[in-house]
Amino acid sequence: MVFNSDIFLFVFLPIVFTLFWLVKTKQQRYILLTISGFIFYGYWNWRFCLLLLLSSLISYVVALLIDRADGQRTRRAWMIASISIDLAILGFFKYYNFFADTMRVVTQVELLPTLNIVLPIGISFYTFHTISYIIDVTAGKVRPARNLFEYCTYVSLFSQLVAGPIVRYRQIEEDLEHIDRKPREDYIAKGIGFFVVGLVKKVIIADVIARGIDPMLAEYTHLSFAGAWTAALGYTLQLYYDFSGYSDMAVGLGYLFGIRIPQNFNAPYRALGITDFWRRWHISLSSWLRDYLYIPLGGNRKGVVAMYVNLLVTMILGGLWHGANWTFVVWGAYHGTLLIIDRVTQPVAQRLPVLVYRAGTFVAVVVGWVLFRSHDFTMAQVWLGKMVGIGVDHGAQPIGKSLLCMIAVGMVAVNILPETWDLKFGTRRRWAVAYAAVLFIAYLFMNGRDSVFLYYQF
Amino acid sequence: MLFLRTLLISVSLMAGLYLALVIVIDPRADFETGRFPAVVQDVRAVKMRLFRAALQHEPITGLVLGSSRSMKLNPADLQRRTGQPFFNFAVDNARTEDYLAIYRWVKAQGTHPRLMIIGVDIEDLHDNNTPNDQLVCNDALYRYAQGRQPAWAPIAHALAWGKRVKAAFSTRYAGDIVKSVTLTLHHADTTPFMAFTGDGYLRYHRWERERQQGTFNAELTIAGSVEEYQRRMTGMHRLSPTRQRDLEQLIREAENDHAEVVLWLTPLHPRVRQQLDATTRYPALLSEAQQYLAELGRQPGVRAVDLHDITRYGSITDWYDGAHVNEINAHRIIIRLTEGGQ
Repeated sequence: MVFNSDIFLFVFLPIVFTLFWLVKTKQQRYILLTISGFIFYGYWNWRFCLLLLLSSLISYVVALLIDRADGQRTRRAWMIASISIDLAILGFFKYYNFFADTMRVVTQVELLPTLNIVLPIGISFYTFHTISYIIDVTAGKVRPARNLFEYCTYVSLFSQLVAGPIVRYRQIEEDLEHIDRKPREDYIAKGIGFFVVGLVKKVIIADVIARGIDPMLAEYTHLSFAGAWTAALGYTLQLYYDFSGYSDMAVGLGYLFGIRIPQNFNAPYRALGITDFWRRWHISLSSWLRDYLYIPLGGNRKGVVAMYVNLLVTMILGGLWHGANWTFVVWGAYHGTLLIIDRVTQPVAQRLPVLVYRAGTFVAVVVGWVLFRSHDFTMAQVWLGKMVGIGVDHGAQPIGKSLLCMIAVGMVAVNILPETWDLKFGTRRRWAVAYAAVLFIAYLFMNGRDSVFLYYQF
Repeated sequence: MLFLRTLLISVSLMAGLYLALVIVIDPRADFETGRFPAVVQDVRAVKMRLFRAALQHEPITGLVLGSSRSMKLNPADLQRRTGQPFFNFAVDNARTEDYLAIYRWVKAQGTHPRLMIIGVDIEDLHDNNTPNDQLVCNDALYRYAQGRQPAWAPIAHALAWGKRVKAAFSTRYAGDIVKSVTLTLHHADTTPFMAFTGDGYLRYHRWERERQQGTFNAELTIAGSVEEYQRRMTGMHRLSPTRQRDLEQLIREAENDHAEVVLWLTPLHPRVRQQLDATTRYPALLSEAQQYLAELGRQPGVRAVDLHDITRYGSITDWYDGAHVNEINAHRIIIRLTEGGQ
């Protein structure tokens, strides 16, 4: 089920919302949100609910065992066991075939058979939820949830189950504890506001740009120089509006149920330097990688060289998290390298005019997105080649005027307009009328067009 | 929850107002209120109506199926050459699921075609597998595409009406409302772009008039087709197995009904083809389609005619645009389709 679908907007959300505010006790609300999360997830393929349930149960039980364990060694053993199971499940479903194919290419022998595995949607996200929970419990940063349904609400909360943000338990623990409170008018207004802005980003901007660039990229060998740049810029904007739109909708849905989901984007294309970019882009993932991978690897505590190695390893694994494809690995390595360059050149870069520094960062990010979007290295090589004038097909692919307009509008918007989090969502009724009008227009754009969020594939 | 209540009431009011506008202006002739000119015709619905009316006069035993590229095959011309009373049931943006649905629907009207001429465009077998909106919204037809049993009439009617109403809530439909109102306000020429005679034959009234007056600009229309067909073919990677199955199912059902099938590969203007050859997978797809039709043509009761290259039998000037032949080329196609047939 996706947020921008009729079944979600007209059936699922109204029913869950109404029932949520009709029932009064904590337990009833936990149960309702847990069941709704599983229905939301199972709508795509009910069989994978069992996987979600297994992952939730294991981390729930292990967290309690960690809490009761006496020594640090036992606590760590439980933690490693739980994380190993999580990673084994993720590894099998997401990376087994990638590993088997790579082995075959390297050894020229079929050591492992390729299996017909369907990737369970959202597995990368909820696995990171459970891992962060277990590590935080082990580190004593959070107390383990005693109530199974409270914990299941955290893992299977439908607003952030499939494509994030990757919420830490401690970030919503307080709201879960007070889930039985009465509805707050300001939360409802904020929730609707976030949801409407997210829907507009998705269906009016991202999807419209996608309709322009997808056909171009389907025939990428025929891109002209201008076409290659148009497609690259278009995808850069599509990805941002699609994913930040999803995140805004997730935050909005959270507010509708009294749960404050943290910010995931903060005007990333205004970043000054790649380090700054990663503080603004997919914040929940980059901070997760920092706290649960980069710092445990040693972070910057073991000297400059070790820090650079740690950065590179973290970003490569971050790239691989996005998908089982070498293009993601190289994309991660590219960003790791950029982060190192960024650290090294900071003193010089800081003296550059802001616009030049920002533009340079933006172009570096755009180049990265070409790798990210390409399904293989041939595509990336051809596309990047055309962006520097190699192998261009002069005038072969027409570029729609509406696409150029959307890209222009999108570029202006990412550079000038405030982030959703900077908006003040009023609670007066005239705002409700304004949201209604925008919601109505957004529906005209989405009706009859099936479009899933880009991050659903990860 | 006052805020939420205001939002819901506002959305409902806006939806209600919009729906009223849709019904009054009716830009696609969905609700037959007819106060404003229709800017888009639901050709499937129009042809179903015409077919039922045509059946009142005589039994129809010849059927033309295809996309808009087959609409200029003149049923009267076909009748002269085959002796069978024909109806042209070609519909725009047709795919093979349309042909199967139309054939089954036609039979459900109590008639049994003896000869079917099916114009196959390569994109009839597009691998996106998305049925045309007008087919999906046409419950009477769509259930035959899906092999569903006819629903209880009131439910079927309510479902169809519901689908039409839902389809109206889209930017395309809103754009058509604006177009329809603009035409009326500017007292513009509201002659429908496409009109059909009682036997389903297409008339391009405006283009025909422009041709008579010598003002018809073929260069312009062909250039438009180049862009349009490039868009259509981009993203098509192979012939859809699902759509091939639909076509094969249609042939099987025709064979069981002892109906003869003539499949023909439709032409595109050489300028459109030249562009598609250079920028899309068109040459490979054409080759696949040719092989596929040739295979089907080897079955008993099926004849496949490859007419994709207009230069072999027609002219490059007798076109309305880059995809639609005029009456002269259409007549040449009919000669090719009927020679050696009956």
